[in-house]
Amino acid sequence: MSIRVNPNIVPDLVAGIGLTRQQLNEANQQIASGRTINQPSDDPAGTAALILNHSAQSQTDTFQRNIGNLQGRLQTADSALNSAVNAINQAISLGVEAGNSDLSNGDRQAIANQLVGIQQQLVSIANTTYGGTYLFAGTLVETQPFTLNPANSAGVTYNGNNASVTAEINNGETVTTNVPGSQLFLNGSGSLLGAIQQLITAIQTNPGIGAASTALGAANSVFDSQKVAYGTALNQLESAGNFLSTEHTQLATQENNIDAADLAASTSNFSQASIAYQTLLKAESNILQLPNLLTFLQ
Amino acid sequence: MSLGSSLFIAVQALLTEKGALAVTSNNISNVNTPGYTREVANLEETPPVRLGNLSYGTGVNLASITSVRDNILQLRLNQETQNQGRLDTFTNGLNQIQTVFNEPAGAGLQSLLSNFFNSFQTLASDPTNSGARQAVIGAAQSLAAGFKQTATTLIEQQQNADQGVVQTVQRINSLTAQIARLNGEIASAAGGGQNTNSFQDQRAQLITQLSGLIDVQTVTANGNALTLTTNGGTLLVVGNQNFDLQSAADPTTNFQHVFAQGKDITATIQGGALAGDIQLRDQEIPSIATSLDTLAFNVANSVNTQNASGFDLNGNPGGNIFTPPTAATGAALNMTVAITDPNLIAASADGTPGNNVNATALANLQSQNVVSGQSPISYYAGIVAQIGNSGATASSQLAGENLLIQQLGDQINAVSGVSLDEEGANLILYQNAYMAASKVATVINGLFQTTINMV
Repeated sequence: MSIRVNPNIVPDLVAGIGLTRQQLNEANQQIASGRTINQPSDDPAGTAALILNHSAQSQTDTFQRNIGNLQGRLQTADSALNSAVNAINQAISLGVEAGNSDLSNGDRQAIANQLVGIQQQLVSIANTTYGGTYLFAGTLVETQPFTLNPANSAGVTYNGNNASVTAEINNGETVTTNVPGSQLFLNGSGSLLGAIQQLITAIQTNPGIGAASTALGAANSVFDSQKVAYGTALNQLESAGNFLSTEHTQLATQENNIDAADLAASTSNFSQASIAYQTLLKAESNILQLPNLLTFLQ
Repeated sequence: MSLGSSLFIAVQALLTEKGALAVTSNNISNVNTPGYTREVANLEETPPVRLGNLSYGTGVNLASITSVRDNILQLRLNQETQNQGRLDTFTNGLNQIQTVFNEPAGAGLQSLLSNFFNSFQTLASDPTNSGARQAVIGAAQSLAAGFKQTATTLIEQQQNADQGVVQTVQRINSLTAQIARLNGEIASAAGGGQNTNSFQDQRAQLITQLSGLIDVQTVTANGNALTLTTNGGTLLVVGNQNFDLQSAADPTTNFQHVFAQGKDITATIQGGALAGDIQLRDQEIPSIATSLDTLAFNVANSVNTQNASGFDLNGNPGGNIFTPPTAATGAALNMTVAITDPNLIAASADGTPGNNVNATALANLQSQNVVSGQSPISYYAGIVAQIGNSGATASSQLAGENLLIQQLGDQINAVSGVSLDEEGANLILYQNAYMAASKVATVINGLFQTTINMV
């Protein structure tokens, strides 16, 4: 007895069309979305890797934004301190000028008055704000750090604290974002405001002008060495920013490696599926039109 | 032998071929009828008569009309249909769940978790900034809403599966009632010596349909009486009697359990759509929901604990950012932000407004192993991978089952399907035989005339 073949091939034909159609849809979806993973079941491990990648990208973006914000803050601080340099140089010249023994008391008083102006300018610089908070108050950023107080030897009261703040600018990398005002303007190794006050007092009372000028020169060096921290921090921010852009690019590349559809491959898959689909339809319409024995019975 | 006997043989042949033609005609008519099994006319010689030394043939008879079916193939089809039914329902449900974890498209909890923790990082770079503080509250609210929405979708899917159990039980009962009725008709028709082929075709189709809903084992006893049980041995049909399944809400879970004669058989159901719904409802979704709750519970608690160890902008010790979850169960659904005042975020570690140490610590919770020994994002990635794995496994199994069922269908058709070529050939054979027999009758009639004319 011969093997009986399946006489009813229609279900197979329909299933074949369905399968080819599905391949066509998959290729189409990849082209449309540009991704090979369109739901977690497409590639569970790839999806998990994508989640970690997206999270890392989001963190990198945040660090980059924060670096932008910090740069604004630190640049404001840096340029404020640089503007103090002019005032200090002027004070040093005035100190030298006041040391001239030919000057009258009236001349010295005029110089002292100029120095008081410089002192006020420096205090105002020391009270610089950014975004409503004081830059040189340690962490007491909502309190004005310096108020003039002639009763104190430094001529001011410091209302801030001695704390410095560090911010994370990449995983595990931190930058110090402030130098407390006490360290900048009232440093124990050479107090800038103290030296100014000393000079003013010396000029007003005459003896000790030379010593006061020397003290001011020394305090200026200390001030210079302290404010360098801002330049260093800005450099660090810039290089961290560059590093983060590289990292961002790498993460984007990694994301592409995980799930980007190879457009050439997807397009080729699509054409193949499309050709297969059309060929199948044609073949099947031919098969369905095939006659059977009954067609020939008279 | 008389001429009369020969005429009788020819007439008998005419009747037989007419019967065979009727079978062919019926086959051709049912060429597209689903579930139809082709019939064959079984012709047989009638017993010879012995006259003297000679034995004469007495012609042909249509002994029976039988359906050509392969019960083993049908059984295999039913078994695979049980797997297909389970996988189909399971995959459909899981695909719906996958849409709320659509991380490849960037829509899911990852971005909400990342935004939330990163908002602390931004706050750390400017701890008194009210915009940055407001952003933390906003991100916390989005995260809580995301958890709630994800948990709600899971509950909805679980309820859909639960509804599926009720509907499937109703369909099972309707099918078993029809099968029992057919069993009765087959038994009485067979008892009356009638052809039961069409009843058997219908019954085989209904059993395959039933297999798509629940695991079915068929026990055929003495020919036509058919007993259907589940794999666990629960009786569904015995002869012409069907045993309804009932669904009733479980008092603790409030989900529908399946009962057979008062006995809870929910855990024993292994196949069909019923098993798919039960697997989704009782295993897959609860497992995902538990993981999601664990994530929400630990994120809320670790954030609260860290916030409490710092100081807010008013210089007071920090409080809760999220309403503390009472238990892990329901933590995702019930996640809410406890504060609206941005100043209550404890960015500072020492109470001074410019201190950012605690904000940095809050941001860094995202990379710390605060959720079952993993970081929140890693743990979440694990949940999504688990869903993806379940989905991928189920859909590839389903694709395999579909193929297998198609092949079994082909094999069954190869045995039982109507071939128009074959029927065409039979038509010619029976037509020729019919014409030949009528010629014989004509010739014998001529012989009768000759004999009569002799008188």
